[in-house]
Amino acid sequence: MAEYDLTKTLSAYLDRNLASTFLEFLETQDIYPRDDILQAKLDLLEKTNMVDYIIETYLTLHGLDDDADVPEEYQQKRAAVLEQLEDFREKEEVLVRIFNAENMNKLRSEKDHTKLIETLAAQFGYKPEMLDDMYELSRLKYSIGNYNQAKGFLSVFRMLAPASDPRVSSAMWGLLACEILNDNFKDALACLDELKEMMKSDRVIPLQLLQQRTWLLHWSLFVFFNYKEGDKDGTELLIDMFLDKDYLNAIQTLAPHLLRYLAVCVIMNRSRKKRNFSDLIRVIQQESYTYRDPITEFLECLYIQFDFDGAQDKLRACTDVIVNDFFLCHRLDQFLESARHLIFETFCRIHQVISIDMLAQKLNMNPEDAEKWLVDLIRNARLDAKIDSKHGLVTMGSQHISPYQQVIEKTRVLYQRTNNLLYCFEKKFGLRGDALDRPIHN
Amino acid sequence: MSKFFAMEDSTSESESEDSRDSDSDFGGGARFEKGGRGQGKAGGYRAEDSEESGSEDEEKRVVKSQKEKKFGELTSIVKNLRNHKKINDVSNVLTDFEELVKKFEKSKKVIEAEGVPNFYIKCIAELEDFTNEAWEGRKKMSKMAAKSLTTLRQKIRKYNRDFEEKITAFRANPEEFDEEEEPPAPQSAGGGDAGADRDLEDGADGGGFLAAKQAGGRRQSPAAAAYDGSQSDDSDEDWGGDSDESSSSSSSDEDYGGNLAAKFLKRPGKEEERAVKKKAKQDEKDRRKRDEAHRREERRREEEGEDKDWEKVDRGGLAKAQKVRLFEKGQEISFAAAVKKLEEIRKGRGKRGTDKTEQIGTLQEMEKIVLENGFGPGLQIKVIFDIVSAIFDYNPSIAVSMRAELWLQLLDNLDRLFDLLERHSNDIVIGASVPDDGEMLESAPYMIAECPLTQLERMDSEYTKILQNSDAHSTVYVERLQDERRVCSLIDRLVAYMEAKRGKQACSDIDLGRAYSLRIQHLYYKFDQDWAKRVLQAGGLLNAADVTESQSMREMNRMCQLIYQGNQQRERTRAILYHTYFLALHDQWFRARDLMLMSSLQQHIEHSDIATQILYNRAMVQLGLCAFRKGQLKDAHMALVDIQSSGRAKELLAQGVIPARFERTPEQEKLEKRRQMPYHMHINLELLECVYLVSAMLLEIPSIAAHENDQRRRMISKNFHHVLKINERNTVNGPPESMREHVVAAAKVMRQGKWQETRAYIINDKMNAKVWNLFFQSDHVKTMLESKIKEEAMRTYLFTFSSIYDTLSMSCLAEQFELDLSQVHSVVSRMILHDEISASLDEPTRCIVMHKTEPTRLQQLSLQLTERLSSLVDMNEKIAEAKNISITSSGPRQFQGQQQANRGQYADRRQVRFQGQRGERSY
Repeated sequence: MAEYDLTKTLSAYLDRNLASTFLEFLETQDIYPRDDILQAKLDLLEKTNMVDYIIETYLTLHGLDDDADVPEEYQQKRAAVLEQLEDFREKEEVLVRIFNAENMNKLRSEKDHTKLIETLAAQFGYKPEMLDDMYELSRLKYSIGNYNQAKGFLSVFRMLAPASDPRVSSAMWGLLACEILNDNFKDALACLDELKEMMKSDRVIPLQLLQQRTWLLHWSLFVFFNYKEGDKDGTELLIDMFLDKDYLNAIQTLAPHLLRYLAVCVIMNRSRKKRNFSDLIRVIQQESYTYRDPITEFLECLYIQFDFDGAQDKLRACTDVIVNDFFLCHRLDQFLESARHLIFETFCRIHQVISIDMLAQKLNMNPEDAEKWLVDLIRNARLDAKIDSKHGLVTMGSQHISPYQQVIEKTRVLYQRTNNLLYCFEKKFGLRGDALDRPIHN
Repeated sequence: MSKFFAMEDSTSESESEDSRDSDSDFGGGARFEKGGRGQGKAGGYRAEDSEESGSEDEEKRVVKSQKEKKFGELTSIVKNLRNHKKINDVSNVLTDFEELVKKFEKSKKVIEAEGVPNFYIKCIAELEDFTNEAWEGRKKMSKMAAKSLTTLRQKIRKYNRDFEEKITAFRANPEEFDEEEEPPAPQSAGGGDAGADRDLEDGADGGGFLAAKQAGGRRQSPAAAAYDGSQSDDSDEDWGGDSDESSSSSSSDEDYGGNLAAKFLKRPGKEEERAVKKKAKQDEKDRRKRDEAHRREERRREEEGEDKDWEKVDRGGLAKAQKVRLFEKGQEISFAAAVKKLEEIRKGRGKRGTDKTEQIGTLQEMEKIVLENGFGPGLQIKVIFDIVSAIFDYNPSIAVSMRAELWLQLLDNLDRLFDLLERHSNDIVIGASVPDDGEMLESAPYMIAECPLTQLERMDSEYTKILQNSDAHSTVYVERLQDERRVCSLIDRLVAYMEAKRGKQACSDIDLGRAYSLRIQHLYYKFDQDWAKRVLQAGGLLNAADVTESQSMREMNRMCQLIYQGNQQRERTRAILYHTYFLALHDQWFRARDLMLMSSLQQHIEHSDIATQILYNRAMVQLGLCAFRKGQLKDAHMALVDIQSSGRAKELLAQGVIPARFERTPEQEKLEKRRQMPYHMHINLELLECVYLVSAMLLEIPSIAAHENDQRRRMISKNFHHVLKINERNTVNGPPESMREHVVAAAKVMRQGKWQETRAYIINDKMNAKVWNLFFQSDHVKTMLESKIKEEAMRTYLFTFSSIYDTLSMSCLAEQFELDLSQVHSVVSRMILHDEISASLDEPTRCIVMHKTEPTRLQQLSLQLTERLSSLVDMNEKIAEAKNISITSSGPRQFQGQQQANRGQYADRRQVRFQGQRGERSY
């Protein structure tokens, strides 16, 4: 199944810390040899400062469990990191003292930026250099994996840094990463929106903008697939963002593999908008030469070739892909259910009479389940059909509109419109005094 | 050339063999060859001789040429006179004689200096004889002739009295008159004795004179006359006439006619004498020349063999112009002097009084001097640049192209320039970045403020111009086209040179980009045959991306990438278009399409310059053709519709000027001519039209069938409808002849769903030869076409005849259209799902069940009526709006809003379409 694994492609657009979560997930799957994954993880982590994690990975990789076996370089690295932390200790304490929870609440109410800084300087002895410290400190905390603290510093930094500071956007990205890694997806979503806004107003050359959008698309996967509030699902938001013209462009140009996630989301939210489908299918068709996987092929089968058997095969292949996908693995059932509906809907629209056996086969169910499923559908008035259980057939109700109906439809509004026009004329030229009192026909 | 050489050859033959037959053998292939070869060997020497003799004999030359001119005129009259004499056309002889006398009077000045020419004496003497002879037979003559003869006789008697003495001398010793003036001219033909310098020009110029002189003695030696005839630079015909004459005169001649043998016996002696004289003269000449020639020879050897070619070109083109002396003899030529002189020459550039031909000659002389004195490559390069500029200056008008000789000379000069640049690549800094006053020409490192890139760009545009101005079907065009290799190699050398220098001060990326775009211009329209071979070996082009990219593709990609990175908007646009064209040509459909789409050029192409628009059109056409080959009919149609629907494809692609519908000023016309593509870059217009029509047919016919009853159906292709309509207007339609007729015929049968006939009309021998075989891998295209025809024919069939059926078995359909059942299923499903036909499938029996929604006549009419009504209401509302009546009412307001929105959309659409039209109108 490694063929359809996107880890490698996706990682290229992600932060090291984010990518490491991928590898952790892959460890639980068995599509790659374990040692390979561990080695990859080690390589990935080596540039971060999460020394203990590195050592742990190293030990697991080599089947050791004794601290004495840890190579010298890691020991040194640990010492270096600790030293660095020590260097920052004093500054950190000062900062923590100033920006404790109590003060923060007070500060939040202050809207004016300059005033805020003045107050800070007067009350707490805040100095502008502290901004740099905060930034550095947050980076350090992030690299050792202390996302919570990093986030704290970053949010203060964002509050205090002037808009012209070039580090603002980096800080924003950092904040997003922290929120994601802290599993705080609601805030992450807010960060995401803010970043989107920033990109709109940023004046960068188009190529960079494209690059940034692509990053954002990748990072947003973490948010959308985990965010859920009430009946609002992150996947719906994903569709909106991915189908946005600019982002769709970015997908087509740099990251056609993201079509998988878009496709899954669109299928899962099939009832939402018909337009999503046509847009998606157009893009899939356009990009079919650069990217294809069972999920996009499933849609191709269903909507371009109308090959239901093919679609069925692809659906089976989709299962494997989804199970092994970091983002999609929890959505398998939801996806399958939706996909089945999709096949069935299309099928019904084309056919007049369908045998239940065949349908069951197409839907990858046994006939009895299929019949029950159908009955449910009909009972919930989602399907205009009748079951002929003697012959094992489903007969669809007719859908076409008779010419009479068409004529009625078309003429109904005409009278209204003309009347209205007449009324306006009369009003304008005051032909009739009682014009204003005239009732409006409906 | 061979004729001229061959003549010389035959001359030498006749000299040695002493036989009249040699004249008739003249055309013999062997001799032709021999002469040609001998000539080739001597070529190098001769060229230089002519120059020298030019510079040395300047003074003498003037007189000589005047003399030659006058005598030449006389000679030609004498010749006419002789001819008339022969056919006893007395009245014409009289006029000739009068003319001769008149000319003689005019030439008095020359004759006083030179003495009366012998041929003249001979002529008048003979004329007197002739009149005397004719006098006896005057009774037989016509009245007019007799009268003329009388006049002539009187005149000549009177006239000849002045020359009495000389004529007596002539009569006493005719041979002497013949011999005395026997020229220095009839030089050895240069066959064996390459060292024996021959002054070709002298030979050529003196030829006429000579022939005349010889003609004087002709009676005594007809063979010699014939020989002289061949020596003279008369045309072929004249020469033939001469030889005829010589044979006839030998028999009719009363004085010498009987004594043929004696005449021949005399010959050897004459020949010897002549040879000795000639030898002496030549030796003398040789000695003079060799000294100088020797010097040049030496440095010439340094410059390798190329120079031979180069010199040869000189001869043809500008030889006469090169009699220039730059420095006084004996003057010391120092480097500073040379630079000064060069500066002087350059100053003359562009001034009114400067002779452009002379300018080139002078500069070439200058280069020789530079080489002779070893002033180094710096100055030489500078001079070459000046030569190149001078050549470019030669034509004042941009409309006129360069002559072939000049062009070749230009190429040679540029070749030499790059030789030098490559040889000294380490110690020369060249480019526009060198300031004018910062030049260093004397010693390394040389700094030269010239730009080879600019010159090559000019050369390239000049090349295009030459091709534009020559007839595409002539050999001239082919000859020039052969130069493309040289042009390309020059550009390659430039690119290589600049790449080596890249990043250094003298070569910025922008310049490199310019060099690349030059190269791309010669690359983008060429189909890579190696690649095609590899594709074929790999077993066909199902997925071209699988086949490794060819060399040229990589090159193209690399060069375009560099240009894309630059900031040159125009260059970038053009590079994108070249790249698209190239990719489309090589069937890289997706890449080509993405490139075109991503560039989003469609939106603002109409704001760019016309050359770019043409290029855009070309790229679009190529993209359309590629889409067609790939079976993407819709894309093909979209890409081609703008070009084809205007009916001006020829104009839009710059492949020919069509008669203007609107008045065009001559300037506009000239401009348009200058934009034309050279013939070898043309896109086949018939192919283009056919591809367009076929794709339009496959899209339009099902749509016509589907919307038969629809009042407001939208046409997909107006052009196609137009073609159809024209055909329908004919009372009788014969079997199709042209490509267009074939497509129309196919469309007609397709309307009834007869796919076999459609296929037969589209794919047959005639169409193969005309269109399909022009495609790479035409078999694939034909297979694709066939399956498309089947599919679309089936769709048409369903649209047209669905009302007749109640149910329709899919397997029947599959059988009828020879399609797979699954394919039929998928097509039918799509039609149902898109509401194209109202039917549904009966799964257990695999049937299509038609819903009888086909409206009855009454229903149809009432539907139409409602349509009309709603448009009426629309109109009313529009009028109300125009009268500023705001339609405000709570109920229908919402509706109104919607209406407005709709209208807004239409307006937009109209605007878009309008823009589209503007896009079409690329001119």
